[in-house]
This record gives sequence, C-alpha cells and structure tokens, in this order.
Amino acid sequence: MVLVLTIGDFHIPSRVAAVPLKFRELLVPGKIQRVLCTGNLCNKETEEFLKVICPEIQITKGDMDDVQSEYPERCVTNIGQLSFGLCHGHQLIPWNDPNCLAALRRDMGVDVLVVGHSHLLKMTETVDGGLIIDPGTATGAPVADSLDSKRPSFILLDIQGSKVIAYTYEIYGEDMKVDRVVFERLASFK
Amino acid sequence: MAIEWNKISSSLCSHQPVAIQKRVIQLLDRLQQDPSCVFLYIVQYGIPEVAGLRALVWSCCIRRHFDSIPLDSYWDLVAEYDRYPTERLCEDEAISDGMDHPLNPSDDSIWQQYFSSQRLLNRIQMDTIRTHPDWHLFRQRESSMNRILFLFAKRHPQLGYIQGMNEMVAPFVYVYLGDGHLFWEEKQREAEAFIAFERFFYSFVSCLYQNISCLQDRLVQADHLLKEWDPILWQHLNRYQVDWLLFGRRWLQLCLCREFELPELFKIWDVLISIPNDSLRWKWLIGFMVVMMIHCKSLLLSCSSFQQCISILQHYSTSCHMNESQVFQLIHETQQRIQRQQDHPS
Repeated sequence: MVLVLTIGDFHIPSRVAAVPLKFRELLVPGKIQRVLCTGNLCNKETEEFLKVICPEIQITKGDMDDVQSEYPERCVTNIGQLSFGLCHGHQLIPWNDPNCLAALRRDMGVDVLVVGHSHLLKMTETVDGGLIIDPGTATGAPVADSLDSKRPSFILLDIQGSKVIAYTYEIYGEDMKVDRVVFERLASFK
Repeated sequence: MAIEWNKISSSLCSHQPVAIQKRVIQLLDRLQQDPSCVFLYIVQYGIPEVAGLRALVWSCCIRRHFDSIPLDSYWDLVAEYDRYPTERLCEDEAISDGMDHPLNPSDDSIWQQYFSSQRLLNRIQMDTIRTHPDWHLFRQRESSMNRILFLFAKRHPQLGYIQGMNEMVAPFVYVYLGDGHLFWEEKQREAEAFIAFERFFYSFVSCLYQNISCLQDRLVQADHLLKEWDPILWQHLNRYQVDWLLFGRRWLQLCLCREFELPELFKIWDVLISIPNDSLRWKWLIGFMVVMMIHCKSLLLSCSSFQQCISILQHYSTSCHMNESQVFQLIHETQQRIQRQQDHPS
C-alpha cells in the first residue's frame, strides 16, 4: 500500500517558468510515500519542491541538469514486492526507442523501469512481464528539437504487493484528466 | 447480552474460599434480580477480586444505566474502517469525470477520508504508546487500545479523539482484556470493552469536554459542598485563592484516573458504574472529590502558600497516596455524608 510519485522533465527555469497550478494544488505533503524523479529539474528550487512533497526521494541525472549536481545516472530501489529502476533515458541512442528501453530494463534487472526524456506520458507492458513507465513532462516543456509545448503530466503509482495501479494525471488545455490503469500480471525478476 | 447465570456462577466460584463464594453469589443474585440495589451492596462490600467478575458486573450495569448510539457489530465496523481505498472502488475502468484518485482534495473523496483516518490513528498511537509505559499488559494491548479509541472517534466526530481518552480507556482494557479466565472469547472481550468505554465516556463524561459551563457548574457545586462539609479547610483554601479549575478539571475530566493507581481506581469506578442514575452519580463523584480533600486536610492546612497547596492537589496520587483500605474508607464516608444530606435536606 505505497503511493509512489513518478515525475520529471521540468526544465525550470530554462524552458518553462513553473509547475502548473493544478498540479501544485494536488501535490501536497502527507499523502505520497516515495518520489521517483526521472531528471531534468534544472534548478534547486524544484528539488526542494519535490522534497516537501515527500522526504524519501530519488532523482537521476538528466542531460540538462547541472553538471555538478550529484544525482546518479541510474538508480534501483525496492517498493512493495517489486524492484524499480530509474534512469533519465537520454543516455540511450536512439532516443525513446522501445527496444533500447526494454534492454535497459533487463540490464538493470528490475520489474518496473521509470524513464523520461520523451516528454510523452506512456506506460508499456513488455512481453517478458515487465513494465516501462514514462511520466512525461510535469510542466509541458518542449523537447530539444522543437518549440511545441507538450501536455503536462505525471503518474502516481499505488503499489500493493506485486500489483501496480497507475493513476495518470494530464492537463489538456484548461482541464485536468485523471485516469486509472491496473497492472496485475507482473512477473517478478528472479 | 445473553448470560447463563448458573454456569457463570459456578465457574466464578470454583477454587475460591467459601467466604468469597458467598459474596460472589450474593452479588450475582442482586445483578440478576434488581440491578439498582447493586450499588448499595458494592458500596458496603465492594466487588470480590475474582477474575472475570468485575467485567461481568461492569457490563451489566453499564448497559443498563448508561446509554449510547446503537452498535451492531464492533468487528464489522473495525473491518470497514480498516479497508484500503482501492478495495472499495468498483473495478470499472471507464473514464469518467468524477473518478476518485489518491490526490483528490475534495472532502467526499474516500482517499481524503483515508488520509484523515491515518492522521487520527497516528495521534492516537502517539498517546497509547505512553499509556502506563511500564505495564506489559498495555504494551501487548496497544493495538486494542488504538482500535477502541479510533472507532470511538469515528462514531462521535463531534468529540473526536481528545488527549486523555487514552488514560480513560486503560482501566477498561485491564478489566476486559487482562489475564484471567473470562466466559467471553478473545474477540468478544474487546467488543465488550469498547461498548463499556463508549457508553461510560459518551453518556457520563463527554459533556465536560463539549461544554465549558458544564465543567464549571460541577466545580462550583464541589466548592459549595466543601464549604458545607469542612468550612475550616474551605476557608484556608479560599484565603490562598486556590481555584478548583486548576486541579479539579483533571479530576473530573479523567474521572480520577490519574489520582489513583489502577487497583484503587477500580474500587471507585465499581461504585460509580453501579449507580443507577446520572444525577446521583455526579453528586457522588463530586462528594467523593470533596472527601478526598478532607482526608488530606492536615497536609493542606500545613501549607502556607498558594504554590504549596496547588502542588499537593495537582499531584494527589503522590502527595496523598491512598491504599486499598483507605479508598474503602473514602467510599464509605462519601456514602454516609450523601445519605445524611438526602435524609436531612437543609
């Protein structure tokens, strides 16, 4: 019964000014037990913002994070009965390639891989019983090679033993949409 | 509450000396036939220390003399409050506008209710951990205390959980869930403890928490009574402006839980619980408090400052420690004085 927030790709202040108000209203302390941040916060204030939500936080280094910041490239942790891997994803060439991501998951030896960098919310069940989660961009920041802003999003995971219930939060224009997907048949990595 | 009196009587009497057996049978007789005369019997002889007897007497008396909101099944309610929110949501995955999610700030959200229940439980746990810290029984029964207090707070949201309730639930946990042979099995014992605590607190003591004038009225009555029963002591305390509110508040609100050790407290509560009506019970409790002060009169009269008087009264259990026979004396004296007052109303 653990609530895990997966979030990332803020790009504050370089591409966007702040996290959308609708998200800031929801992300209050006292509810979430773990935070897995894919990276690209880009400033210290955003890290403080995440620490306020929950003191147990893991952040990996994105390509736009401060070179001197001490975030690791990869991170592995256990939550409930599942193992979680965290990595920003810009290190894999080609970017956002599903086969590369699946290989990364096998390489890290985790049940659930949380990556960012694509700025698109996506959840994929792999054929070998794993789960790849991309919470997208929390602020709607555009990607490196385009000026179009993306849809702000993040994913909240409710871990019950080996069952994962994912709540996706996305902002479409003025509205916020919340959806729920249940992943039950994750095979635990031996 | 179905009771098989013969079976209970014989199981309580087994292995007891004859004198105790006689008392047990007399008490059970009165309980069966006319509960309102149990009070006078208890004032005179007390409840014999036979395992399980006190729980039985308390349950009979509390169910008869104290009322409460109806309760169907304790354990069903506990299970209902214990359920994690996802178990309650229906499994349809249709996208809907009003879907409940863990970050939902609305008060109707079951997630919001879950988080506020968690906060309530944390507050309760902080206090139950410190209740009678050196008694092994209470460390074993911490989860029972948490459940009882949590359920009470949920059923009476206008009261909620108030710090101090943990002290008041401890005697019930000892009596119902302590060691000793009882005719109820484990789960039923906790349910009975809850019923007893809920009725006792809600029906008798709760007005003191909800209404400050209720508390003040009682303290004024106590002051008048002290003036009537011992004018010299009253004069002395009045001279140093010893205000009843400074020590009497805890005495009343916790029903003397902190002023007596548990074994002595049971003797007092035996009497209070067996009193059949509310107004006599208050009169008795207030009278008892005044008699408590009269019994440490010499100590109080030897004080020569406000500070000294107050420190005695605020730490009654250490400054005027009473053992079992002294507590019986207090009880008898209270009864005599009240009886005298009723016979000759001035």
